[in-house]
Amino acid sequence: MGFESFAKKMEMYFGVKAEEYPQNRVAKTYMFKIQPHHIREVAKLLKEEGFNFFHTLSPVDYSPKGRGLELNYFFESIEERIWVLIRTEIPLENPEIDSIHDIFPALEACEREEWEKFGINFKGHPRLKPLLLDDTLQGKWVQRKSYIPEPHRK
Amino acid sequence: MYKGAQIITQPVGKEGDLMVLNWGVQHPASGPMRIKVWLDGEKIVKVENDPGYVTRNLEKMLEYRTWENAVVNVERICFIDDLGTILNWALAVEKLADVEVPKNVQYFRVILAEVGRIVSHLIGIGGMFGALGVATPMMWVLALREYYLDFLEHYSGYRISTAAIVPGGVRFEPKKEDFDLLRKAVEETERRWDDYKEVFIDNPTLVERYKGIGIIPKELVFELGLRGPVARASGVDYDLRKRYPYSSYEDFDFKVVVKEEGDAYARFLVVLEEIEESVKIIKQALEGMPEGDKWKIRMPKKIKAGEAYSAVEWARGGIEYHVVSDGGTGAYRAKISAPSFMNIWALEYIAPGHKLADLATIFASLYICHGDLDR
Repeated sequence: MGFESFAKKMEMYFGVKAEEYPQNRVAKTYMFKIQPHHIREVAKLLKEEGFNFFHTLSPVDYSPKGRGLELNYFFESIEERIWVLIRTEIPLENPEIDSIHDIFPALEACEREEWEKFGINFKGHPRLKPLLLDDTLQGKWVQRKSYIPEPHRK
Repeated sequence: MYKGAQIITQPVGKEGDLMVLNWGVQHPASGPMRIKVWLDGEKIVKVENDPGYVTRNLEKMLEYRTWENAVVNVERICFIDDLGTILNWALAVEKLADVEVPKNVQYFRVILAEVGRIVSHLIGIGGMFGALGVATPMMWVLALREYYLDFLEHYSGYRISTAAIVPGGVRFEPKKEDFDLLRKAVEETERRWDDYKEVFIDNPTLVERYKGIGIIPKELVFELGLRGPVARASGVDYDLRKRYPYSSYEDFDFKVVVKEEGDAYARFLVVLEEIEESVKIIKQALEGMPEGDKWKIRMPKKIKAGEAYSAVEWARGGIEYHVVSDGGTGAYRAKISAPSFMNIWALEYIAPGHKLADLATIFASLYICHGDLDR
């Protein structure tokens, strides 16, 4: 258990190496770029290896830059004080990824929020229904770059 | 013809008909949020949160602001403690631009952040008493809060939403009168604190209604990623100020308040005792304030492409931003991860089994701010 064994297993099972992520101002962080269909296996592995504290799910829409939708999952190992960033990219035309809410219950609300704002279909999520946004904004995927909000004044 | 109040009933599972009660949106203890409660007599069977009545979608707004402008939106995540949220924004932008602020600025930021925490915790305690309908302690904490607001008003011009911290430093140079007002606030706190504790801690109304209610087990903290006083009241020693010190927090001597019980009363005590620790930090920062006359560093208008992840211990727990820059004058994307948004989901786990009257106290003890719940 621990980061060493996690990194070893990630390389063995999925063929991805740990990369330094110095952009985290808070703590030492390693980034793993994985294939989207591996997310459930990676999440299970994270939990087994002691990365039991979920922090943030942060999607970034890179469609104006000619890329897809990037998903960033931040996890922390409370004992080791090491953070892990799981990064994956899904196409914006068909944004689909498996839900990991049953492995990390903290993600249930986060996935629901990002479904509402980005239109990411988290497969297997039990309640993908409106959470924060107003009814008039439902289905417009407001957080995508293609959505331009109407200004209040000109 | 008036037919009287209609009771909505709905079958749930095999148990038969339960009453469904909409607790909120305009309930005095809930704030602008609806909690859907399934009741079997007085007993809560199931709870469903329905937030979103004050959503502003600040994450989208931030994409239309410059790096410094964004302070105005960021501080409105929650008006009660606006200083922690701006501090985190400033740290994230400085990380992106590779800027280090001088030591005197770091110390003054610590003072501001701790004032924000005290101001917020005082309201939090007031809210916990408010949920019981006990008005006196609420008035007491608000009276004490005024001294800190006087300091903020004198320094920045505003009592709340101060915009006192900016990327690259603090907005103004603090004057001697500012420090005098802060010293006065600290002295006033110490003068009153023993009386306050005598009335607050062993308050029979509070103890009866809070002790043993809404217990959050330690495992649930990890499962749901709970943060701040809620996590610390359940025996999780997690404080970003101690764990990953930022803005010179490593220079100060303070202890992280941790309680093992995990009930509503423990959460109340954590919030109460953290005020003492914040006062301790402010006193140390006032005494050890380093020399320096540079209070703001010029920041570049455009910041090179890259990303930064930043987190600070805010009044309600860790507030975390993931900020992406594409080399422009503002953020390409800013994700705000707020503590209330994580903590509110504990309610669905811990409320069932309690009486309806306990819902108000459990909710108040979770120390939720709707501003950062909805963003």
